[in-house]
Amino acid sequence: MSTSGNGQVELKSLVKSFGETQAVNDVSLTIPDGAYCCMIGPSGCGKTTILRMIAGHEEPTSGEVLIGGEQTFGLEPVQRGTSMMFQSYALFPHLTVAENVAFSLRVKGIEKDERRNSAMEVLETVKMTHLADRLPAQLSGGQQQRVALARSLITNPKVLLLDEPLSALDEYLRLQMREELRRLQKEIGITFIHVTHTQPEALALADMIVVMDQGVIDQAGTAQEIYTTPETSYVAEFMGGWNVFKGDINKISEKDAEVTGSDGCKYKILSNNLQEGSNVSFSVRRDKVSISRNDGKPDAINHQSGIVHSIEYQGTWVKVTMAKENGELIVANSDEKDYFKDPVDMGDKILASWEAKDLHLLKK
Amino acid sequence: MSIQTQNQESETSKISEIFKKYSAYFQASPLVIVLFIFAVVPVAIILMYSVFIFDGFVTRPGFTFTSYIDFFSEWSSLLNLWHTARIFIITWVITLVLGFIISYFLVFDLISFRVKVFFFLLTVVPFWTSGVVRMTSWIPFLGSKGILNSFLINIGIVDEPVQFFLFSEFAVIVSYIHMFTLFMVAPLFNVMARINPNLIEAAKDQGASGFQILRFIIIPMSKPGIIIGTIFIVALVATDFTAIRILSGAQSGSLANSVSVAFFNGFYPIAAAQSVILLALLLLFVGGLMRVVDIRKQM
Repeated sequence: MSTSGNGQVELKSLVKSFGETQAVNDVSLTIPDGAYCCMIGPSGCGKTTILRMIAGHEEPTSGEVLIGGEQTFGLEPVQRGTSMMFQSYALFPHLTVAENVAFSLRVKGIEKDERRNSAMEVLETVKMTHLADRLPAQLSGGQQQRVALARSLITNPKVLLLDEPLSALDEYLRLQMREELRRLQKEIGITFIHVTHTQPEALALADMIVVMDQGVIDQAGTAQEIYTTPETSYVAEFMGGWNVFKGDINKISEKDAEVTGSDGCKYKILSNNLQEGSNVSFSVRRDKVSISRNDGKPDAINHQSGIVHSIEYQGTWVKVTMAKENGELIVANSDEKDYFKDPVDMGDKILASWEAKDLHLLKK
Repeated sequence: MSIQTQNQESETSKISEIFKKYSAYFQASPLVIVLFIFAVVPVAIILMYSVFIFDGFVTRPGFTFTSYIDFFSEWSSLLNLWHTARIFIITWVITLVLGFIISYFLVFDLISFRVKVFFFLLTVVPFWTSGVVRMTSWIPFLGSKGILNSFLINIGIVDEPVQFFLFSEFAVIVSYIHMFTLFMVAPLFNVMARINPNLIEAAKDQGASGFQILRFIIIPMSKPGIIIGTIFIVALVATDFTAIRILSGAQSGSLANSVSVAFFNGFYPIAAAQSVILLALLLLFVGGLMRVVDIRKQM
């Protein structure tokens, strides 16, 4: 299989409404050729609708979809150079594996022997040749997925669209297929657009992550950008790994600002372009929060007290959740070694603290 | 004491073991009993009567194949068989096409589930009246001074009433289509409704045209429905004699009609033998269909 070239996908002010509801609300985005792009968001955020509009299974209410720089309005999926892998795989139940894979060739009127040979070639890349004559119902979930993948790839698409491809698999298979998808994408070098609602999946796979909420893009960037510098409290909370706070700025100095949360907690943020009196959101990474036993110290700046709400051992770290008096939770991921020097119990009084430099300012 | 308990225990375990071993038979027995009383016994009685001796007036117990031999040596009975086959084929083709189009419309063209069910229920409306009424109602419509003829004369397509509309094979087939299309719609609707819409999108994604989706996906996947509908139609057409009586005006005979004539005249062995032949032919036909398509696989 060769790279068909320009699989750049460009969305321009894309809008899709179903009656009263706006599923996609003015989305603009450029996905570079050959990128592995993950669109992530809770169900109903519009990510699947965008995928279906790129595929040509849904017409935009307004806005444009350009593939390889070309207009796609009114074009059939094959003319667009896209191929879609459906969530339930959508294999044709009355056709064998080989016939499923060769379906697009049959439609083109290619001879039986020739299309079987081509199908076998593609099945080879997903290691499914030995099951070529089985019916889909006789395959496991992982095998069905490989067949669906082969069926999508045989059309030589410029862009492969994957709608929650791993959601129907069990944990073990999911991790295995995740790796394989990544390897395959690098091998054939076409653009993959993968819709998911699982954060680790997106982080593990994507060159580019697009975080969506209620029909709009909150942030788009590399996995590292999204994880280490979330722009909004929604992204920080949705991608996980962050504690998010809100408060009012009551004092600013040259290089930092003092913030008071609604519950009276005090924070100090390193920043120089904040306005006194304004309301801000900010966050601290779980692994930057340290915990210590509390021998009666009151809350101080960047120090908050509470009791241990839950403890989860995670191997290299221990996830300790602290409940503040008002019920708010703060999560600390303690290094395993540090934690076991003086392990805490549920109900113990502890103090969670962090350094001012680890507080990350959010846009909203 | 302890030995006694042991004995008792082994006895109860024996009984429970028997129950376990035959529990499947116990569970199947209600259906077996019902089928035995309502299917096996009647067929056995018909089989028995079909070999009794009949001298033209009286039926006597005995064993002879005369009734069967008479059937196959008479032209008129073979002609009846041919009529039934011809009427069935025409009815089948038309109900299949109609049933397919109606089901396709209900399943794929209507989006709202409620609207689908509403339209499906509409197809049942004709069944609110009795079959004889539905059949008889064709007479004023198709008759030589009927609605259809008046209409055709009024708009000038024909000059005088078309005679073959009523009391003809045509009238019989029209009434069959009217009454039986539902039996094709129901199983087709059922299988089509279970086709995952994603499959159609996947086919489109693979570059299939509307016609190719129909040919490669929808028709093959509807096969079990077609087969079940066909079984309904063949059973209904082959066993009907009222429409033949009321609407064909003796222009057309059928095997079922000849069974009923023989029966009401008291020619029981002849009626029984013809019934057995009809049953055998139907079983052969259905068995052949089952060989072509494994309906269990896709149910």
